[in-house]
Amino acid sequence: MPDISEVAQELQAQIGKEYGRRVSLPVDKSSIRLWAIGTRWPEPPKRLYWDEEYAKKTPSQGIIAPPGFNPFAYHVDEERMQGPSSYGLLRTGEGNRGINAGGEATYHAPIRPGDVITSVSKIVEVSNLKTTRLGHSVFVITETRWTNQKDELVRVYRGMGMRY
Amino acid sequence: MPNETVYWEDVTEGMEIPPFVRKTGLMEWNRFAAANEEHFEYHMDHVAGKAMGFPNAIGMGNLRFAYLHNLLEDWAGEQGRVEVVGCQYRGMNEEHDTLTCWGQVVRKFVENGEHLVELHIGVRNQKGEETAPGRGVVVLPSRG
Repeated sequence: MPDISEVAQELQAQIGKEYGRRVSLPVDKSSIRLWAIGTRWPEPPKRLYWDEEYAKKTPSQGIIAPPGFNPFAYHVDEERMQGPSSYGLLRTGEGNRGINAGGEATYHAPIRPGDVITSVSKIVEVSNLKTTRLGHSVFVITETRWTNQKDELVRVYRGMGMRY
Repeated sequence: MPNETVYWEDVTEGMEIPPFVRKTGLMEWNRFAAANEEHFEYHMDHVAGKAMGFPNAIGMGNLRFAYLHNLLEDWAGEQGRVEVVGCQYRGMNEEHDTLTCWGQVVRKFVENGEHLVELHIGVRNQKGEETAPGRGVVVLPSRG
């Protein structure tokens, strides 16, 4: 049976290397509206996210996406399985299971309709083997940077996953 | 949803901000799944949730993360903005849970001319259990 230490070694070898570069389709107003509804239901979505005339009079000067919006939903993407969650997935046994332990997003330029977002991820840290309630585990910290078509920074997300 | 603009000068360390509260279940999870393309059976179907070892279907961590964005966004208002949102997932979101997203100011500071507030944030269920403790930073308007 494969040992989780092999998975940890594979992950450690990937530290600092880019993986999973993705480029979104142009963001459309319907996707923004869908997000605004889905995250606030049953309260109505904020007008800033669907009413252009209203949004023009706000400091945003037009419709923007809510912070937290995912521009990659329904993206046709052949590389979805790349990245740290894929390492070890072809095996059975320790290290082939993972959970999202959380993360922190920092926001910069807002996302506007028509924007094309490029996402680039890398592994920044891999813990030593630890023993958790789920057995032998490895914690992996990734950093994903989003930029728009003007090369402006949009969001930096540091996520923590646990492999066990 | 607060309507009055909150100014940086009116904020004090230790103050609590208005909570964002949702009772969640399949309706909320399915609507969020549609927005985030997060269609996993254990978020939609109790049989599938039980097969995974959960009490039933469970809610998405990403939805609690989105609720925390709403908490801060509602407080900062359209004159402010959300700069940082983070949390750790410590517990499950079960069906019919009432989730209360809360925030408490821990620090006020000025950086690069922007007036910022850092908060402890989290998502408590109706039993008082903290399921997603974290940190937020918002930019607020200043009276100058």
